[in-house]
Amino acid sequence: MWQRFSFDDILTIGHYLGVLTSVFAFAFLAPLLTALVCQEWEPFLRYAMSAGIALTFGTLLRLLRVNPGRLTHQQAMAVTGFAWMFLALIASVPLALSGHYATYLDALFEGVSGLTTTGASLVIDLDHMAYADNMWRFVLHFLGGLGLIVVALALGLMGSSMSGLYSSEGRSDHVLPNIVTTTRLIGGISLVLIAVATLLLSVFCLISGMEPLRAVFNSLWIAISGFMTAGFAPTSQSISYYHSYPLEMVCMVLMILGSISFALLVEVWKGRTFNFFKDLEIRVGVIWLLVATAVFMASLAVSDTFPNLPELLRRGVFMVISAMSTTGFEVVTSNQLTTSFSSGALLILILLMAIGGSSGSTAGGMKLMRVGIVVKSLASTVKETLAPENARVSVVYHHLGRHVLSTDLARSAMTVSTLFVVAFIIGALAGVAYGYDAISAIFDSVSMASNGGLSAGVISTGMPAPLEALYILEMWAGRLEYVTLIALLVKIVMSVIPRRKGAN
Amino acid sequence: MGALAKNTRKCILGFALAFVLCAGAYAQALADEPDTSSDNTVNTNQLPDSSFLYDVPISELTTADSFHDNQTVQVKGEVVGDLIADEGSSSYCWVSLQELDVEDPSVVSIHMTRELANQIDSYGHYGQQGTTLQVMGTFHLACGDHQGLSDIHAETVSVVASGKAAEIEPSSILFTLAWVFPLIGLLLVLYYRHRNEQER
Repeated sequence: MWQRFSFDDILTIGHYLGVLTSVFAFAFLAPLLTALVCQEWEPFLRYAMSAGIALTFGTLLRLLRVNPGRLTHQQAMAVTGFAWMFLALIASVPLALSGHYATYLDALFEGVSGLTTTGASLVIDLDHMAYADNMWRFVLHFLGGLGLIVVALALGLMGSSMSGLYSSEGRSDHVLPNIVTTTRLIGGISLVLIAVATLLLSVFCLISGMEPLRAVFNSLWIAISGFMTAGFAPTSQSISYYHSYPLEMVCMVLMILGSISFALLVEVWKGRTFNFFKDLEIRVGVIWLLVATAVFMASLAVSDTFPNLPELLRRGVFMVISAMSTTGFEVVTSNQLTTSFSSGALLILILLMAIGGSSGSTAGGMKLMRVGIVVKSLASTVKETLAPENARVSVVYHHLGRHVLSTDLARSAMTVSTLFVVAFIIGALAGVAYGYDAISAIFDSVSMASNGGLSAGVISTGMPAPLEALYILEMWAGRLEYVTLIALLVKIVMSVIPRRKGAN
Repeated sequence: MGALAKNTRKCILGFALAFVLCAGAYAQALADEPDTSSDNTVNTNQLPDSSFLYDVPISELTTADSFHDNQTVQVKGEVVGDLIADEGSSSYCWVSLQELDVEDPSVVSIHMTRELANQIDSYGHYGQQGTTLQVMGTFHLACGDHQGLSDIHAETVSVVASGKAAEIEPSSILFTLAWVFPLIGLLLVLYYRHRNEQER
């Protein structure tokens, strides 16, 4: 029944992993150039070495099978699944040698967090980090937010083996009929929005009194992190460092845009705003955002933390958008989350991260589409119960066109949502087992599994290594939306277990 | 009767002597000139001071529950990042203070006047250690004046040490590997291209 990976499969998978790794070496050019401009010679050597490591290992893998041929669906799934962890291992090398991480595991956590656009960080002394190292962290966000496979497809690296790779990375929206064109459009939209945001943010940083070079770098990094709904910040105090309401406004707009499906952004760009407002995800998102914001404000208003409404709105709305988009930017400290915020407010943030943003966007979480599908499925069940026996019930929804809700779609949505919940529970139980407060353990587990990035204090330097490893696994699995990774792990186990005599 | 009279006379004499001594001491006290120097005046309008000064590490503030809230604290740390203007007032600014000499330093926002900030000669970043300051002020876990931010409103600021450049020298091993690995990588790429051509 179970098809195993053959030796041939392994060689082919190795080759394509090698392609990705070799091209990944060119990503190190960004921190190299930064180090050169800023005359940071020690980082320059580190990134030159790391680029060489990536090129060496990538080419060795490609030599496993020089002419691999077309990828099968199973092979594509393996390439997608392994690529994230393999590239994170290489990405962590220069970070681990920077002196800003206590252990290699902490650097690996940072690499995975960067690539999966989670945004949780274990960096030490961030305010003394080299510009080159900071640039690398945000390059990881950029590549991970677009999607490693999207980048590879846009560059035409994967030959004709496209569709399986694209869908294995959790992408379902075909913005344009051709996948390569789609991936290039996604890249183009991202670059334009990031460039505009960088310009605006630079102005605000200069007005705040920052030096020009620091203003531009900080603005670029915040723009990348905001639109990719990633969450790393250039300073240890996150967005609250800048003490700038206009800057916070731009960040909120970026986070909202980043959590909307690229396909819908194209619809708006083409003037088809009707499709945008009729979309199931947009409607679910708006209703959920309004309800969550109202409940969150009410729970904050009970405490005396924020003495009046404008201040409550400023901090509260920002945190709601940061959690819903699974970005992870903070305008409050982890300590304030657990001391000044009520448990109700924390619960709202947990639910916001768990549900997340739109499918086909850079956001994480279960996705608004799945929540909408589950609600529609519930409506369908109620309709069927109430309808006459011989009546045929169908439920329609709008998402890039008019569709009828099918049983397969409803089952798929329920399956993935259940897997998310299981991951939340496993991570929370592990946190509790290590002695952390239950709310904090649940908060951080949901944050990891949804690639949210906010932390209630569990994620910190010196956290238990097994818990850290579990969080790495959660981030990885969450980025691939569980099914790809679980299928891959099952296939690996079945490939390793010896065949029974007489079995097919 | 004679002995009684004698004892009575002794008692009377003792009391009289004590009285004279006390009177003399009192007269002496009254005769001392009062200290009229300016630094020893008593302000009768001064209210009782119920606050205490807490000398705390910055990490304790960043993990504090309400214990230190609205208390006067004294912290010492390195100035890092930038001088950020206060949105509401041009006379004030924000400075980030990082804990000293710990493996995983915490940072706290200090709200101070620009006049106090002028004492800072250097802001810490890569390759540069910033000015070390000692700051005394009121800590707010969620400041009502600044939209719920955790901050310290500085009352006094003093410079403990000036900033200085930090030496960051790459090791010779790193220097070697930075050439070796790219070279190996390029050679392998050339070999791969050669194999690819052969197999076509």
